[in-house]
Amino acid sequence: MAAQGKPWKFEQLAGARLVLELTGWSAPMGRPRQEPVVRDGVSVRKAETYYPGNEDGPTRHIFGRKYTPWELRGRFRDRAGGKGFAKLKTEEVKRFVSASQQVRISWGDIVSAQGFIDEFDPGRESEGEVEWVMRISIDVDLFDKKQRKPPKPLVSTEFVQKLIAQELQSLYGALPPMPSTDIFTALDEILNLPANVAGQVLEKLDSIVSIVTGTVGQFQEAASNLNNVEKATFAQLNRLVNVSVQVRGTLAALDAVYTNTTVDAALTRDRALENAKFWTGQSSAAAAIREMQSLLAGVERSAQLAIRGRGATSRVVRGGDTWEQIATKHYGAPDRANSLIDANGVQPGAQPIAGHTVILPP
Amino acid sequence: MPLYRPRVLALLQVPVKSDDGDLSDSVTLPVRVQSCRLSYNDHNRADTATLTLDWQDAGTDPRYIAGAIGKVYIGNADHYDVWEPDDERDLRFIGRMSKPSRHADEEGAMVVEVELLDYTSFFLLAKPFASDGVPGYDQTLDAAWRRICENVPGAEGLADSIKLRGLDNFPLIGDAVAERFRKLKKVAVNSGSDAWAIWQQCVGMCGLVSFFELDTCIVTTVTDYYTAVDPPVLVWGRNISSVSEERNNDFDRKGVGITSFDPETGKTLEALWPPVGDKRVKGKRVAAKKRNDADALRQAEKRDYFQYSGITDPQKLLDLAKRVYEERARQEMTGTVRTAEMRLATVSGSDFDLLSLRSGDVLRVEFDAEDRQTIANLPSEQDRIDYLKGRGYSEDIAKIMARNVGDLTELDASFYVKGVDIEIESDADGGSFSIEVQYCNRILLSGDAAP
Repeated sequence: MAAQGKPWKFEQLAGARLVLELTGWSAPMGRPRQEPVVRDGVSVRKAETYYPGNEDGPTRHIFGRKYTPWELRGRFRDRAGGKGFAKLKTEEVKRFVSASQQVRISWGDIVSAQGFIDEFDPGRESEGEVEWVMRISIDVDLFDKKQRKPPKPLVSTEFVQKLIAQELQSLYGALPPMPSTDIFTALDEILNLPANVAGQVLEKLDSIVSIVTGTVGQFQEAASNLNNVEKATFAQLNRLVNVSVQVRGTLAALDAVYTNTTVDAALTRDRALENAKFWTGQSSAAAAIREMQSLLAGVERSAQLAIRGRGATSRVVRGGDTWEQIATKHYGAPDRANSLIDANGVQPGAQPIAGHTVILPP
Repeated sequence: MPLYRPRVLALLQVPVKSDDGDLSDSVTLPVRVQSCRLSYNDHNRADTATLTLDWQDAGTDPRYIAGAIGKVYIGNADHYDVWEPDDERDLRFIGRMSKPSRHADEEGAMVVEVELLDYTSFFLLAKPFASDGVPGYDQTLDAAWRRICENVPGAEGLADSIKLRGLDNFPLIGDAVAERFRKLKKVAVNSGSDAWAIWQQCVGMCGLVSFFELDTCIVTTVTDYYTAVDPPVLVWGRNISSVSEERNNDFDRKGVGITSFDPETGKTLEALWPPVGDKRVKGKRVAAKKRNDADALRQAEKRDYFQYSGITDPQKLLDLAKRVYEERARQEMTGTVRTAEMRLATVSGSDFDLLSLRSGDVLRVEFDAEDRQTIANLPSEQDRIDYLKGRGYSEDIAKIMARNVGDLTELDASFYVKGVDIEIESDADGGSFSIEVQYCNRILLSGDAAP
């Protein structure tokens, strides 16, 4: 039976680039449960060496694959296309095959391949009935080739390098003003690396992580000093918190860059040992970043405590008090209302609630 | 069992005419290889690569590619069947085109066959060598190399491609000869020598060895070169397809003598190794009253003599004699082993890329090591004979083996690699891959088998 609705298409890839379509009753046919329309198998081109005395099985060398040649059978008949159709179609196919070109063959979305038509063998049963066989050497099974690709497209080292450069470029712009310029130095180094050293880039990322770790340590020390000295101004404490928040944002971006980078870079590695080493490095870096974020959260908490400590003065809100009134009463001017709102962490527009205690920062 | 995905690629760097009309430009063609045979020889012959290429890639007039430089990569594709040839990991051969040819027949077979020879061939072809290129005694080895390269057609670009291993500085050639000899200025060479023989003479005078590694001339010490460090292991019954071994009796207990003519004094220096009277050297029986007569002993000894010009320092000549003896002693036992493995475990269990094995490396070939050890452990000679008969040996051979059991266990399984042939071929149905290693036994300068 012919496959209705799924045309066979043969496209020449060079020369006159003719296209041959076999549809309906002219299409290659099979017989359900007896004869397939096409056998599109694949075999492995390999060699096996059995060593004398070794019973552990052979050493195999895989040289590639080989696709089973296709043998298509069909029938051109005048009944399907009108008087003279079988003859004309036979001549068309003969011309197509005689051009001896590489062809792309597809049967709808069922099979798709590239190959060479070796033979077209028509058997004229009557004036209007031609039974035919077509034999095709298959070079590439296009569906198989597509499916054989690794889970993600295998990218070149250069591509990974470019990707890292792009990601870091965006990260570079988003970096907050850091107390140390080491990060910028490291980033510059990465951006200027030659294209074939993606591995070094990853090491550089690790070095960034260690630099950030050092920076976080400085933050923690600074916060600790501020707590002890208790002489830091409210503005200094606020700045510490703000910078800490920015650094945490940077770390989150770095984490994302590192994760994305490792996924792509890992695809360029073909050895299990290197992969294992690589993923170990990645998980260590991820752990380091999480630790840093935790440290920074601690820095922020310390700063907040310091702020609260500095704002020890408080006042119980009376009914009808506004932030401006409280500021006027406490500081002598209504323009400090915003600092009151900030210090008490309330939403903009929200008024103080009677009976609650509000912090009055210095 | 191992599964490999062998892949091979060749790059042909073909000279093309530049705008100025000379052949200073080049194009690099990646060519698909249907079959490849790499033969790594000893240092006195050029290594060869014989390739069968796809017609579509190289089926041009052979004259167009006659001057090409070829690079051959062989590697192992990954589990995704992806292989990106890497210079450091997969580059196995660099050489110049020797015999490009193309063949087509009525059955439709169309192939291109090329033979590449490594850069040693430039120097072998320079024969006779122009006297301008002969190094002087006042030159260090690297300067001598440069002078030779400048006088070898095609090798001019190799002048700086020289590396020293095992020494800090290139020695002065003149240090190998007596002071008066340096007045001759140029190294005395045999007439008609090729450039490589002259280079080897210069290197040999300094007690060193030299060979090409890809496109670089390596100069190294004999000790450094012939040192066995964690060699790969081939075991019969595990990874050996075939093996054959033979002993050459021609060199059995023969000493060597090296003579060198000093043209200034008109005298000939002579160095003998092993020394006269040494028990390692076989000889005729000497009458008791003449056993202290060195001349009589020497005449009775079996020695092969070689002439070597240019050395006037007796110690250098003796060093050379030791080296020649060592090289010849290795020829006593030779063998060939074939495997289909691309990687092997070493003695310590490390991974070894067998395609990197070269002449001068050490390889362990364990043919009947278990048998040797087993019979050594059996308490009596009769037990050994019975065991060996049970293993299929005839009674006579079993007796010989059982009586020599002490020697058998001392025979070492470490051998020196003399040559390596790598063959890879791919066709519509499959292909083949094999490595054949020619080896010889490893004898220390003392004459003992290596431990």
